[in-house]
Amino acid sequence: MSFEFKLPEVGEGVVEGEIVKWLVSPGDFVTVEQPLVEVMTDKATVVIPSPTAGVIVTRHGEEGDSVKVHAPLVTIDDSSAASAKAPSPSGAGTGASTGSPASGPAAPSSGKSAEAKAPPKSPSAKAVAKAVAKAPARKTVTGAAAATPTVLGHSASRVGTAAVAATPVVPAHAPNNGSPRSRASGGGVAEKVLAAPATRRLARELGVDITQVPGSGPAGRVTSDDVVRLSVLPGAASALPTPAPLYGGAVEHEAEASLPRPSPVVGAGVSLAPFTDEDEIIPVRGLRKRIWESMTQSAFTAAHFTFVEECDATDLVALRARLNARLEATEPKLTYLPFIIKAVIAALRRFPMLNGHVDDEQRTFVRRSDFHIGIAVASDRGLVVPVVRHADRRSLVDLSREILRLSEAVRTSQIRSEDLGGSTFTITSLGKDGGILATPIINYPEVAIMGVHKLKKRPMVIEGPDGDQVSIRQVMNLSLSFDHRLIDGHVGAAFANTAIALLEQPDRLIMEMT
Amino acid sequence: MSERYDVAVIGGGPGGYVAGIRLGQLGKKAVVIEREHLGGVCLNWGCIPSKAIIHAANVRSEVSGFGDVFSATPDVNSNALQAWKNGIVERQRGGIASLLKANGCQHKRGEANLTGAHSLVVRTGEGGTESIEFEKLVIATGAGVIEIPGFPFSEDVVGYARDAVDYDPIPQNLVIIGGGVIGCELGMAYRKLGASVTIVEMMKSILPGTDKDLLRPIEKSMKKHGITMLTEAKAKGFQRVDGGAQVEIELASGEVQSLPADRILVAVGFRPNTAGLGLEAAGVETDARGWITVDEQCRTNVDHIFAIGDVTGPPLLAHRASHMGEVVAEVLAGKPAAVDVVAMPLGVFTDPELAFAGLSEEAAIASGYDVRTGLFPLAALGRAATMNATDGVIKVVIDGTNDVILGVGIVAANANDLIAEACLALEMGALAEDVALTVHAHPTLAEGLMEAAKAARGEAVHIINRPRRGAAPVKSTTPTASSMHP
Repeated sequence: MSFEFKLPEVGEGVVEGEIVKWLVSPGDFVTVEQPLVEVMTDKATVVIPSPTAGVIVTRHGEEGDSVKVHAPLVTIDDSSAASAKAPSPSGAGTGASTGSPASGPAAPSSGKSAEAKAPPKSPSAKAVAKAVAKAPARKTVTGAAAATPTVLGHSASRVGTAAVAATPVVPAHAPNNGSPRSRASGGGVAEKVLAAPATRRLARELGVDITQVPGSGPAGRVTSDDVVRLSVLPGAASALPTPAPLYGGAVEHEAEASLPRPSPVVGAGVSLAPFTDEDEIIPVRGLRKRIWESMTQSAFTAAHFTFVEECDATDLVALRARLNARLEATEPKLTYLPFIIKAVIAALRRFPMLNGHVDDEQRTFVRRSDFHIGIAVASDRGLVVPVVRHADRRSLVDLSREILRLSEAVRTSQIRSEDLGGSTFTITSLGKDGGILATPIINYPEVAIMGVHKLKKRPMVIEGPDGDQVSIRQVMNLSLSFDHRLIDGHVGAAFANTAIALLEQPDRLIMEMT
Repeated sequence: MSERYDVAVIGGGPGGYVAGIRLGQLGKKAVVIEREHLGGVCLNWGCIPSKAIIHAANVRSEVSGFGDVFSATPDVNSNALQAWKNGIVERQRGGIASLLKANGCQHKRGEANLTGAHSLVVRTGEGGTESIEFEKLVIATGAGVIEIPGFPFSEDVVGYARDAVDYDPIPQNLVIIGGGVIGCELGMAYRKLGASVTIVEMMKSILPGTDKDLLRPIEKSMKKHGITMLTEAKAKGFQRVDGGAQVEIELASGEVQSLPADRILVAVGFRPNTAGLGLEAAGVETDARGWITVDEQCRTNVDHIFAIGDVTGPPLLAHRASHMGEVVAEVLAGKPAAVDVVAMPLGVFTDPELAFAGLSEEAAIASGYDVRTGLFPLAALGRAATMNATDGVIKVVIDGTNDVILGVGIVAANANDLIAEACLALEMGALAEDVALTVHAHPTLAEGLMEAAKAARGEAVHIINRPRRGAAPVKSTTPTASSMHP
């Protein structure tokens, strides 16, 4: 029996992906979990594994084509699982079912192998295959929740839910056996999932296994918001406290819908030069489309206020040189970024209103107590912001390693969903191309972003006990953009100056490190 | 030359016709094939006609049971009763036909036989046949009565549920074999319409499996109305005598009793209507008892063949069939629908009515819940007193650890209407507290559910609260006042 495997949900707010590379061809025999195709979403390239063993019947789409989430990706004939060499009979799905199902598919292949290995088709086996097909692709995100279990406190009060959270969405390996709505709880009671019918339908529509959704309502009742949250935040879903406001997914789609659509035709009154053969119309797709949308949303939502100040990094340069001279062979060289992250965190501790995100629908600011620092990283495909989780708990060397890992992953398009999203503050560093200032666009719904500019020697006037002196100093500028709706100018300036002061006196910075 | 359809639906009962309407709405080219009348057993010989008879019986019984207020027990014109009942059925039947038409679903009358996985023939009444090819199939053929040895059908004496809604005149002596839902409902109705009624049940009680708290008021009422209930008894056979029959009953003691009967109603259960359907031609499998097994999308073992309603096995309920009909239509239209029901209400239209949804106390204990229950007797409700209908009780079963309602049983007048609130509570995952804090209008029977929810929490206002844990012996709670808000 063949079935259509649909593109699962592959990341927060991701609605479509582009087929980058097919790893299987029609007629190929695949095993469970075998990589089928590389799909590039606007956030990352993910490898979609096969939900079942079987023979590839059809690939829906060519390399370069866009596929919507929940649209057919590939048709797999799982009844032929046992016969690797079986040519996939076209239309086997319906044709096969005319015979007695237990005797194997009506494929021209020998019935022997099917009898030997393929289990007789039963509704439950089929249900499993379907459930697997429907389950969001947690492959690339498995373990994300386990990696950051500390913020799970919310659900710990409910027996059963904690266990659920610790094992993030399992692609239905366990057959439902007709009781899809039960889950084991601590007392061994087959506890039903508490959720309204409309919520249960929503879960089906979103392909979410509702038994895996931690409920935020009374007695653990699962709300529609809980379901949406899990569907749009794969992996990270259970790592976020349940009552957190919604980002991505539903809200984002709404926002998208309400945003002015970029028009391919410029409006009346603007005259365009005649189009020539050398001109090219380039569709905005994939990562660029995502950037387009998020930048538009940020630019037209947050009231950007940019504050720029110079930072005398002479002492920092010296400190870094000393530290780098003492690194073990296995330790990566320190860049300036780990120091800047540390200074930013120290400043965020004093100005907590810059660490978190706004919820425009609710008109609230959600101050976050953890420090997840987004790092803007350029790639061939566009700007990506991987996140250094719990940056405050990491040593300089650890930060250095993590930044290296993340930028390498971005550069090679191997970044995983769990490394994206959920930052509380973002730093964008243009390195040696950094110029003297910029007006960074906030990584909405965060409220502030720090731009780091080129470090270069400049003559500076140093006020000393013996009067003013001109000295050659290592100077870099820092640009802080913040959401002026929430943060007043003097607060933003004080925050920036705090970070700068710590970078100028790295001894103080070291004393503030945790 | 055969006609082609996206979906063929075999059976036009409450499952099949609902599927047909929904399929039409969802843009599928569908046909509903019904061998008898649209509406199936439910409309033509079951739910609807029986409720009409029961209502008439209740009207008579209410008048005659009203103490000295009314002077005489009304006479029954059984001919007029049949005409009224048949009028209802015909009107409803016409309504279904026009709904199918309005939604663009074809309707064919005839018996369908599968000839392959994608084809069937319809044998029409006039001996003609029509071939139909379909992409998808929905089997909604329902269930038929089980016959028992020694009681072959006869026009004048031995009949089944569908015959019992046509009794004209009202039998003088009605012997009912089987004390299930049909036996109890019709037994009570015909008793009220003047028949002497004996119910013969093989098990220890009528309505086997019913929670004892809920069964008690019904048994009491049966006795009060003068119905003879012979439990652990077997009907052995009957002898025709002048004007009817003598039924031989083997009692629990082993003694054989002979009862006069002008009508014998056999109501011992149902079997799936699959004979002659040609399931084997399509490769559809059934379980050992012949019911078609389906998954939560109503899909059989054959990918493109679905089954809904009674033919998929118990509980045999029209509303279950209709729900499955809607689900299957949506599944066929590519929607992610599923039969995902917490509370499938079960109802018995006795007097008082019995309605139940969710887990019984026994089932909840067996599932390992820390069970608490709240019982509220109808006698403590002012509205029940003013309706002269104080027999009954409302029982709420909750999970003591988190207050979540697990099940609700109602024995009361209109219990099958009252259960709707409980179903919504169960589907929404409501706490007993939610129901307790919801203001219920006074004076109504619905207040009883609110009070029972409070009772489960030890907060009932109009009865004395006693802790009631699961597994503890069940005792009825004594009302402190004969009515609310006197």
